[in-house]
Amino acid sequence: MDRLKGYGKILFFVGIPLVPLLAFWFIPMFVSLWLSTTDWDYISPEFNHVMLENYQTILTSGNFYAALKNTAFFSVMTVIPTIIFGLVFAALLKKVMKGSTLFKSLLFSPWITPMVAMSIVWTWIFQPDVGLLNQILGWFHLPQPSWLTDSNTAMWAIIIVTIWKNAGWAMLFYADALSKIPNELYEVGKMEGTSWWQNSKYITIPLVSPTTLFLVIISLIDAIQAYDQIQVMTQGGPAGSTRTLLYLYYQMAFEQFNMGQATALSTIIVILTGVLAFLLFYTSKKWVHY
Amino acid sequence: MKKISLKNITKQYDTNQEKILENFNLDIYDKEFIVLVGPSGCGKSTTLRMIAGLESITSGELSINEQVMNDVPSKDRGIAMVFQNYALFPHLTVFDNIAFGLKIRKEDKKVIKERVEETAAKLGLTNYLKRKPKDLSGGQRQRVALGRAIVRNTNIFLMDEPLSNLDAKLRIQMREEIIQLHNQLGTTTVYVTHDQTEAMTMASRIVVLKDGAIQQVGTPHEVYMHPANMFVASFIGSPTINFLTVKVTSHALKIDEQKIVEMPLDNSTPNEIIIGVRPEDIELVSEPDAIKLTIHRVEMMGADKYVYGEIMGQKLTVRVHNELDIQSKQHLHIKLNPRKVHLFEKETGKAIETFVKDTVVV
Amino acid sequence: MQQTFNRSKSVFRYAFLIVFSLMMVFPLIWMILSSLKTTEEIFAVPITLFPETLQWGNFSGALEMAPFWLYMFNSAFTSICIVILQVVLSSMIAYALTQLKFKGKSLLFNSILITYMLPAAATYVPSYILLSKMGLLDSLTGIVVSNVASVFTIFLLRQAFMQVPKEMIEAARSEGANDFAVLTKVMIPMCKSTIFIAGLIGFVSMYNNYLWPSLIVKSEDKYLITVGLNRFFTNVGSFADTWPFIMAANVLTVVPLLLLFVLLNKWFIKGISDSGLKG
Repeated sequence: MDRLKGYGKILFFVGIPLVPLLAFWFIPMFVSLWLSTTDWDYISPEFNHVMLENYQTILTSGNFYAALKNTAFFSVMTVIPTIIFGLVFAALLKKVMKGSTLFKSLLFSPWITPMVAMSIVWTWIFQPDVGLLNQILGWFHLPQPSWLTDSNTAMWAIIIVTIWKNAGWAMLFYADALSKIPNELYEVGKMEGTSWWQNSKYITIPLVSPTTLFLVIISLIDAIQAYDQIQVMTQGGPAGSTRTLLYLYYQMAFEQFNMGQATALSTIIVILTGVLAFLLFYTSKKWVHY
Repeated sequence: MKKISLKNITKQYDTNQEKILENFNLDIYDKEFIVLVGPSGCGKSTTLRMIAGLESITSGELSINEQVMNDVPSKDRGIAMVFQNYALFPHLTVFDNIAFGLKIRKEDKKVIKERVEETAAKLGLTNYLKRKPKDLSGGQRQRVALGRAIVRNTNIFLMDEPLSNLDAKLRIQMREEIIQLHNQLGTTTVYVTHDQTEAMTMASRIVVLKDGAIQQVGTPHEVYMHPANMFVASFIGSPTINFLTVKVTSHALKIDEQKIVEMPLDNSTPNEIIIGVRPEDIELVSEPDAIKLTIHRVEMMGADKYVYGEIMGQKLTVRVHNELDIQSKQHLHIKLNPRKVHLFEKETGKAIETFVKDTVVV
Repeated sequence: MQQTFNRSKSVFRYAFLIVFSLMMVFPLIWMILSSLKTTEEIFAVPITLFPETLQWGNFSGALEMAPFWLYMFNSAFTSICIVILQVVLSSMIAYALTQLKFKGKSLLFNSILITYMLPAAATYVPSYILLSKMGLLDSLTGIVVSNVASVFTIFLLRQAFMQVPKEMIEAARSEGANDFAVLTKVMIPMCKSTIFIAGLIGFVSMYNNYLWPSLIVKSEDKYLITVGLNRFFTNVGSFADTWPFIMAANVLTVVPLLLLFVLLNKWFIKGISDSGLKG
């Protein structure tokens, strides 16, 4: 009887929440893997098993490598500045007595806004002729690129928006990490006459390294999944210059309904993310100090 | 030679805030072990941090080695500091923690290695050089913190409650080690603590502080034997000194017409004063006409027993030998030794000098 | 001397903070200003910062062109439903993960951990097929159902539940409370603030969610605000004279969130920095 009750209890607390988790997370991961070995086109009820053909097609296509390169470029160029700005903001805030909450809120506010809406605003700011950014660049007689309509600059525009939105978020984590560094450590530094740079290098950066690892991993996963800003601002263009792996996946799956290749690509994305996360954890032993 | 000299030092964080320290004057001589002691918030740490250069000095003059240091950065003051919570870098090994300052000063690698190893040997840390602080015991961490001070090759050490995080046993052991180190290295040490036992056992001179003002400066013997006021008397010594309010008559001090102690006092003494008697200075007697102490409670402390009771409505603690059987008793008869009674003005709490000079001859 | 040095340092600090803050907030300000300008002012070269007269008509214009109120209602409605279900389901599983013993517990936890790390996109095709099999494509129910499992909320609540002192749980049990009572009378009240924060972050991310909902809803009356806004932008964005309306629609979309942020900014800031699932 007690045992039965025990099972009932587990069924209730684990079973019920597990249904959506299985249906929309765990099982799809495997179904996706299985679909990637078919040539299903979503419409027709029949499909063939093609084994690894989809992977072969993807791994030999130029589109894939272009998208891979774009993804890598986008990830590196958003993750690193986001983290640096986050740390700089947090460091500036640390010793501010008055108005620190206000500054924190202002710096963080982009994170709260919908990427879709703000991408539209940024599209407007990036307008080549009348946009705010180029007019400002004009004041300083700096070059005024066409931003979103130029395949050399479109990715930079997307990168700027992404950093703008996420830097304040990274700041919050760093602010928390900085507040946990005992002030005495800086006093030890002061007694030895450390410079600003030595304080950062020997004290601050090593002591926030667990936060840095966390932020790198989360921002990287976030960067690999970036979609909204690309969809609104460039739709992967011009000339595929902003087409990332995820955007390519979206186009394959939901524009061309090439489910086999799309799921194969999603598997590659998953593997890539997994490998990167693993590598980061693995190498982190060398630079993360708990 | 004056090693450190504080002249009229005042500290105030904000012009409309209270002064943390006011007109602080103190000369510290070569090879002294000075302990700043007082309750929390008395300004002892602030004083130390001003000497270190971690706090600015609002007004007054700080000299080290007879040079004014008010605006000299910490690193050029020729001092080393040991912090309360060890302040070790968690991400660095023992070696790198000790070597930190040398690295900042861009010393030669070989020199660093030599100096660190030499220091580690002095502190018995040789086998731990590769460990991180989290893998060390509290005592070992404290030694690393000391090592970081020693490696600087300076002769002034500042220590801010360095033992407060250690358990009681270890504290006694480290107390020993710090004094030995002090003697061995021939340094001048300024040591901050709130623990009067540490002050008494370690100091060559004690500075008792309260509310940002010096109450008394003296050797442990002096502050114990001749406390300058009631605060010092009650802060130094354990168990705490007894205070009794008494009436002054021509030959004796009395409570409610009962004679407490015989004592000839000159006419300038006020009519009512407070006397301080340490629990260890009270004698037990068998004469029935002696003062009768009503026992409230007895605490067994090991070698001694503390008897808490009252005489004529005033509380009194007596320290007695542990073999004395008082469990069955309700009263004790006691006697005060006039040579061991401290007199204080009732209004100000200050020690009454005349008496001290006349009767207590050391 | 040291004090003047410190003062000039803090002036620098403030100067940097003001510049950075302006940079971060400026797109929002620019959006609001643009939404109140005429087409001529918007296109003016050199730029005009402030509109001459505030063009409140842009808002009614935008609302006439597309039913933004309906979109916003759809978004708010689905987000609230999702958040409530997320919190209920996550607190149940977080309770099981922290308080119950069962086979496969560590397997379950590790699966959840891995899911948190992997791109959600990998699940889109099968989830899409599942929704279509359930007949839930192009429905708000479909959006709610497919989003109720939140790995993030599970983590957050598990973390919070682990902090509840054992003594409190044991005390409740010794007074005869069963698991359901321990969850609802001890865990949830003790972790109120974490649950609120999880709900808040869940709400914002659902309101801002775009990719997945854009795949599911096809008919206009079911658009979420992000979907509706982007469709509006794609449909009319090529016409120069609609920019003031687009900006007005943007403001309508963003302002509810900004108000929420102004009201609850301490919760957001504290909650997000506490939600770092480190280690």
